[in-house]
Amino acid sequence: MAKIVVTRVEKTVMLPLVRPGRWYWAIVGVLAAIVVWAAYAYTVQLQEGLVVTAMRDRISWGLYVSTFVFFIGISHAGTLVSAILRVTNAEWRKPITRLAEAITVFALIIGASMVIIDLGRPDRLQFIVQFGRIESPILWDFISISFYLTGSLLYLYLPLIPDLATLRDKMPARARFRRWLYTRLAARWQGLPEQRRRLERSLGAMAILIIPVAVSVHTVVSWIFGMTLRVGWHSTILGPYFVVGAIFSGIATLIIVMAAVRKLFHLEGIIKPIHFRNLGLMLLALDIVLLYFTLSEYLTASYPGETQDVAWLTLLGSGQFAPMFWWMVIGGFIVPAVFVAVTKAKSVPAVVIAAILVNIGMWIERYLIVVPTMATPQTPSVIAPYWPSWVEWSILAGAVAAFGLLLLAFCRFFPVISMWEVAEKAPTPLSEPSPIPEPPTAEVVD
Amino acid sequence: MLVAFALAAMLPLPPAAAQPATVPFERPVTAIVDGVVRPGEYAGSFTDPVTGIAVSWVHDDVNLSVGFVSPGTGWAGIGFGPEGILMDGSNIIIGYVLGAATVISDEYGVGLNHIADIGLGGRDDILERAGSEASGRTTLEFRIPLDSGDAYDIALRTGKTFSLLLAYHDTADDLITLHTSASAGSFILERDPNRIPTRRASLGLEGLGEPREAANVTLVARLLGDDGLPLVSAVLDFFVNTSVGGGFLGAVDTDAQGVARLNYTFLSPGPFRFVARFEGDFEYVPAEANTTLVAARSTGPSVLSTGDLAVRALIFATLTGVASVYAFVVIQILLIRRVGVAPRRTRGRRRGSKADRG
Repeated sequence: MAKIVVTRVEKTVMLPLVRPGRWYWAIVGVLAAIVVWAAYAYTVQLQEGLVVTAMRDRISWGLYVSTFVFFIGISHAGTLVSAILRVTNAEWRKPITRLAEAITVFALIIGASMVIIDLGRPDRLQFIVQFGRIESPILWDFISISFYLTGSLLYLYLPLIPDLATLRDKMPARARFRRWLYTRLAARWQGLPEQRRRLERSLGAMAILIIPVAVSVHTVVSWIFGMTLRVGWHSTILGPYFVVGAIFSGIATLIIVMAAVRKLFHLEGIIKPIHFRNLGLMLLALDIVLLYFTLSEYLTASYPGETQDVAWLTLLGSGQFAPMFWWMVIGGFIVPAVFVAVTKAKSVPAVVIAAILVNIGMWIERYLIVVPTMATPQTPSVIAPYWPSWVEWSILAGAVAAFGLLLLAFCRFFPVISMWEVAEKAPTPLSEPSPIPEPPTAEVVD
Repeated sequence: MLVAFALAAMLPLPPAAAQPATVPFERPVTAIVDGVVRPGEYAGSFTDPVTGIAVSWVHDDVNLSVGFVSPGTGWAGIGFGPEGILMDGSNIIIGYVLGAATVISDEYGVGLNHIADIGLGGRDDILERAGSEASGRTTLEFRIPLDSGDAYDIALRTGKTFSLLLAYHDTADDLITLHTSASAGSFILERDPNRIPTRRASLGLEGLGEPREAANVTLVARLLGDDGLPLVSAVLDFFVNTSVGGGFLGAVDTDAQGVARLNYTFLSPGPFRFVARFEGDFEYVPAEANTTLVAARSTGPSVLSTGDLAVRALIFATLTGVASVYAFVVIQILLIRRVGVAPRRTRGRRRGSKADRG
């Protein structure tokens, strides 16, 4: 019989699982209230039909599809930070990979939900399988998102296994449900060499595979637009433009979530300024790439002076969408770049503010991709009006809140830091072994 | 055969045709059919700018009372027909005043001719008639049922638009001389604002033809009254149900059998719910019918299926490859789990297993 040994990292990471704190519950309460309100709005839409939205025959894609593209975009956080950095063996990634992988899964779930909400009749979802045509980018999207979600779940679960075993062995005895849960999920992990070998092999395969799968997802999302003969959409650059934007907003989301989790669960000792700095510099690099793509996209469209292109660009540059467009360019691209460049990403608040601005700008960018093109008439006609209804705004707020709620629920049940990977970096206990806050009384380790 | 109206069909529509004239509803009707139209006698009146004929009229949901004054001493006539059609199938009331005698005849448009209903086997359904001549003008007054039941009279219904013909001759007191002037327009009978429809019509809807992507079906709606008889010239609206509500397909009048048909082309496979709606009239409350047709997938050539099987093979191979890696990972997880139980097996059930040896 021996006493359970808990390292400092384990103690820090497991504390939120046992005692998340008052702020945690306060935030959960607010987010849950928003989700409930959004659920009410959705029931109104289910009862009345899509007529309660501002979408009509001319503008049939609006806030929902914009939000779908946005969430699919931020799902690339896990791909970049976890998979690419794992493949390139970047050691500094270890404390933040779990959050990135969780963001991927939850962003995909919320993003896919937006499409179902946009259907108006969710019972028609089965038609995609029943009547879908392989020629349709909608079906491509359905397939690629399904594969990406499956892969992301596997990729989230694999590195969780050793930590689940730790939780199984070290959670307080009175937490029976959790111990039962962790026992079921830990796949009888004992850290045996054979188990480690198989885990590393699986992680290696998934890390390599998930990158092209993720790239395909956002490329296919862009093809939903790009395969149509609509001004602003029918562009060969749209695929890479979407992918770069996705990784850009994914990193921004990861920075925001990192900052929130770090503050909420007191993880300053594990998620350090160096993580914000490295991610901030990546944000800056992608910002510049995205600015280049944006310039290329709009310059190419404007230079030939095609009537529809001019009408579309006028809408964006000086028409009804001009405030949003210039907010996106200045507030979403230029100001964050200046923030990060001037501070050299050494200031955590500056990087976080830049990330928030980037995400607002990227949501607007998605909105400006979808709506102005649909508003631009295909035949001589007036500009189609569209301003989202309260139902659409409510569901958007609910989607963001649900994303946060899922992340908080994840934080309540699973460690947000990959303990075993961090421990690999520093194999010896960081301090003298100390009992966790509520140590088990009868449980021992051999 | 009489051809007085013959060329009316070739006349350009007068400006008034753009806006249908309205026959006001009034009950009881105070107009007296005595050959003289007095100011205020009829609830509605107008003067046709082309022919100069002054028309006064009113209806009480049962009968139509008309008095019209032509700027000549010869024959004068007025016709009521289906919307968009001039003489053919119209109910034509034509007459003249010769001395003390007034002749007013109930006739039916056949092509560009008109023939007395009696001559066709029908009835003269004019309930009251009278006429007079004064100051070089001829006044004719008559009262007819809105729906006489005669096959050679058009059934006039409230809320529906009908064509209107007007013609006269300066001097000829007969029914055969070609008109001096004629014009065409349209009119509508005002609904009884106090009338509450109570009768219930039955409406059925079905699709004829094989529902298939890119193929046509004919939507057939049949409207019957509560007496089992078809409701003729009723307007049926067709819709296809969409996510944003009913998508309007078109409005079609019912024919003599109470049937309205509309062709629809399926743009994609899947179930489509169609709705036919009768908005009701002064007698009948609205009725609705629906049917769901499931369009099969088109068997025609597509971009990828015929010309580029390699693309399909590539897609299949890619998806299979990804799925294989996923399967590999799941198997690894299962093996991790299996390895984890090996020590227990060593001690218990499966001594000397492979895991044990390892």
